Amino acid sequence: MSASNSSMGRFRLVSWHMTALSLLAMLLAWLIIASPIGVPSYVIPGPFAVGEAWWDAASSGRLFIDILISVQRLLLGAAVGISTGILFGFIVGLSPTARVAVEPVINAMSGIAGIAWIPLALAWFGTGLGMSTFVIWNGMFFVVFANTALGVSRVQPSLAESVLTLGGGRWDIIRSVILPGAAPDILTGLRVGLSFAWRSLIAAELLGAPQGLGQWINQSATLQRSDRILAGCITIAVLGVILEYLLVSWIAARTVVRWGTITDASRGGAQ
Amino acid sequence: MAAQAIKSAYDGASPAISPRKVLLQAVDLCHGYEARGEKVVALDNVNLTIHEGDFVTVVGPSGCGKSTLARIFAGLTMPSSGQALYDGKLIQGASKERGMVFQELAILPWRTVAGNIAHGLEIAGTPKAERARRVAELVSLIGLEGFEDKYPRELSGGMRQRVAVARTWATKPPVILMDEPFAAVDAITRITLQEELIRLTHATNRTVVFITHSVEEAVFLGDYVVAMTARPGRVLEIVPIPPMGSERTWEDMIKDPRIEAISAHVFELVRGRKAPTARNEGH
Ligand SMILES: Nc1ncnc2c1ncn2[C@@H]1O[C@H](COP(=O)(O)OP(=O)(O)OP(=O)(O)O)[C@@H](O)[C@H]1O
Ligand SMILES: [Mg+2]
Repeated sequence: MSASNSSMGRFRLVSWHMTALSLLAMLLAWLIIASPIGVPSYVIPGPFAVGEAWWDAASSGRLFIDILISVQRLLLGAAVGISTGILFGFIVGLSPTARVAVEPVINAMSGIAGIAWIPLALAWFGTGLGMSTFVIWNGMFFVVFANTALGVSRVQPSLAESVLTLGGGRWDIIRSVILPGAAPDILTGLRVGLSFAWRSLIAAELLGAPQGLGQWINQSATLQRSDRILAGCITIAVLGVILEYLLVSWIAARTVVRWGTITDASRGGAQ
Repeated sequence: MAAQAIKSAYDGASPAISPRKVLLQAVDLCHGYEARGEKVVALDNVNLTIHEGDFVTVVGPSGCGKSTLARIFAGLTMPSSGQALYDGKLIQGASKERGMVFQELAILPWRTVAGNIAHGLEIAGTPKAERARRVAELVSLIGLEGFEDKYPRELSGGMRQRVAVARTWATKPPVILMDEPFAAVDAITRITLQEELIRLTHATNRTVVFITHSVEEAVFLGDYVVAMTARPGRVLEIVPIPPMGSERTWEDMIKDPRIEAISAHVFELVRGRKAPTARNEGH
């Protein structure tokens, strides 16, 4: 999309409107489905019932404790998943020997569904932070790893060579060429990885961890409170969007989007 | 060796045999690539001696091994056989002594114009104030004032090439290898840059190996022209250019009948229409 400068501002406004419009359409559809002419409210509770359930949980303070616990678990798991994923991605992307040695094993492991590990993780780590960290790491590591390795191996070789002819060494190449060069793929890995991290966390909480949003949903399910289940799901979705913004979009806007090494859909394409 | 090769057959143009020290040398250089089982001979027995302060231009058809030769001198490619020497020592890897302007424009998309030019100085640990002064000097030299904070994608192709040249020039390497650095610059800017380049090299006593596919550019810039032929890549002839002084302009050159004759000769050489007049070394 080669939007000229003058039309770009307009396009941005329109794309923002489109987001609001689609949210509004969803809300409307929800209202209709949950209305007396739609399905019964114990199957799909209406927006007002869900809002009320959310407000009850929020005003009692319990919701925020659950949010705090879930976010804490997520951040710890994501920190471990991101750092190990990027580290191993760099090693495999930079060294053909490491690639041959490690990649088949990692690829084989990545095929095993995350949820399958949860019973084992409960046995190994109990119900504490160790368990959730392992499960999130398991859900996130592979996608961060694979994208980082791809990004590192895709950097134009002559960029690294140019640093050598300027008198730079290995570290200069990693810092000033490989890291920024692989940034678009690393950020893609983070974006996808974070959504995997949320899914893993909620699964871990549903299946065993005390407290947290997943556990709140689990208890609501036992009480057959579908309004609360939906309130929990929406809370998770909103938290996911906020965290994605802070960890990925915010960084991307200051790096790859600014450099023009990635096209940003929300700006109608950078090129 | 080179003394024999730099023997002119033209209008009494004095051979450029200099008492200066030998800086770069290629001795029986051969290089082959192997890609998907197929072997390509990129360089076949190339011998070349370049003295300190020389401005050498290398001209030849596409695929004759010009970039390969530059990469071997830079220390980025190891020759299949033969030797490449810098200052009498075997070249065994890249070094800041031999700067290179890459054909594929290796400027960093994530650094601004100023950031790219300052890169080598940062690596060398040049103090910030000195760095800023040097960057400003080079920016004005390449005519990019006002573009210091732009990223490469915001520049035209020709502007990017000028940044690539300045980035290599910034650290003042004794040898500068330039692989078709002005290919994407418009004809008018190119002339300005060429004249500037000649003045700069003479003023700073740099040794430059300048690769081009343009015969006119090779003849205008070079103290001597290395004419190459393709498949396999060989040095056909080393053609000395009569000294025109560092203040030469295109107008002077076009008017000079000797230059016209040399251009015609080099042109026929690289097109493979004419046998070399001087004895081709190594054969
Ligand atoms: N990395 C590579 N792998 C395989 N073959 C290569 C490689 N690099 C160059 N070659 C081959 O070697 C020969 C010389 O290539 P080189 O890039 O040195 O030519 P050149 O004179 O610089 O051409 P141009 O003017 O088009 O840039 C060509 O036939 C090319 O196909
Ligand atoms: Mg080339």
